Amino acid sequence: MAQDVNASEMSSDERDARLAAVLDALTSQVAAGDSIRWDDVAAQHPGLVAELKELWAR
Amino acid sequence: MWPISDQTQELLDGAKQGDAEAAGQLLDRHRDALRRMVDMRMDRRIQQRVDASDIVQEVMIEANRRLGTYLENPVMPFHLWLRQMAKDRLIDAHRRHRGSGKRSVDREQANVAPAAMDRSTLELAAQLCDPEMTPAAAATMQELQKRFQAAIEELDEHDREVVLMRHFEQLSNSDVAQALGLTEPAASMRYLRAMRRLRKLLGGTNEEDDTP
Repeated sequence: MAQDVNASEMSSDERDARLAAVLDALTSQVAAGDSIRWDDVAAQHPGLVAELKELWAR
Repeated sequence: MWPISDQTQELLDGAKQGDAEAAGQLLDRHRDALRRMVDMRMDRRIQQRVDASDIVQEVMIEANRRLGTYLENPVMPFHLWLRQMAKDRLIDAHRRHRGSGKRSVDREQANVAPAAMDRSTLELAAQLCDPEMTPAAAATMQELQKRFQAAIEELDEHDREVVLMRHFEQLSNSDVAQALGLTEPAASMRYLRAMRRLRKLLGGTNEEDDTP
C-alpha cells in the first residue's frame, strides 16, 4: 500500500478511490489470515484510517 | 473458500493433456466451495423445493461436458467459470419457483433469507470485529450475528452480492471484477459502497452519499 502523500488535498472522488483500494488490500490481508496492523495503516494512510477503522468496527 | 492454488493449475494442465483422473479431481476439489456458494444464494423458500446438491451436481455434469472447450480457451479462472454456471442455474431455479403460478413459493412463505446466512453472518461479524475480542465482546456476538443477518438482508442485491463474494467466498477484487463484468477500480468502489451501507445499517456513524 502506497503512502497517502496529501490525503487532505484529495478530491472526494480521489479519496474514495484511494479508500476503496486500501479497503480491498486490508480485506485481502484478512482473507489470507493476517491481522491488520492499525499502527501501520495509520502511518501509511493518516487521512483514511478513521473511516477504515469505522468500516472495520474498530 | 475456493481452492485456488498451484495444484489447481497442475490439474488443469493434466486435464488438458487428457488425464481423466486429473479432470475428476479438478471438479471434486471445487465441489464444497460450489455447494457453499449455492447455499448462500438460495432463499429458504426455494430450498424447500430445490435441493442445492442437485444444482451442484448439475453444474458438475455440465462442467465435465464442457471442460474440453474451456481448456482450449480459458476465458476466466476455473473457479469463476464454475460459479458462473452455478449462478445461471440459480437464476433459473429462482425464476421457475418464484414465478406467477398458483403454487409459486412467493405465495407459500414470506421468508426470503438465504438459507446459509445463519452460519455465515457469524463469520462476517467476526471478520469485521476485533479478532482479539474480550470475553465480554464475544458474549455479544450472538446479538451481533442477528444484527448482521438483518443488515445483510436489507442490503440491495448488488451490495449484498459483493459482500458475499468478498467476505464469504473470499474472492479477490480481481475475481469480483471479472465475475461482475466491472473494472477493478469499479469493483473496489462497489465494495466500499456496500461496506458503507452495511455499516450504516448496523448503526455506524458514517455519512455517505446514497446516490448509486
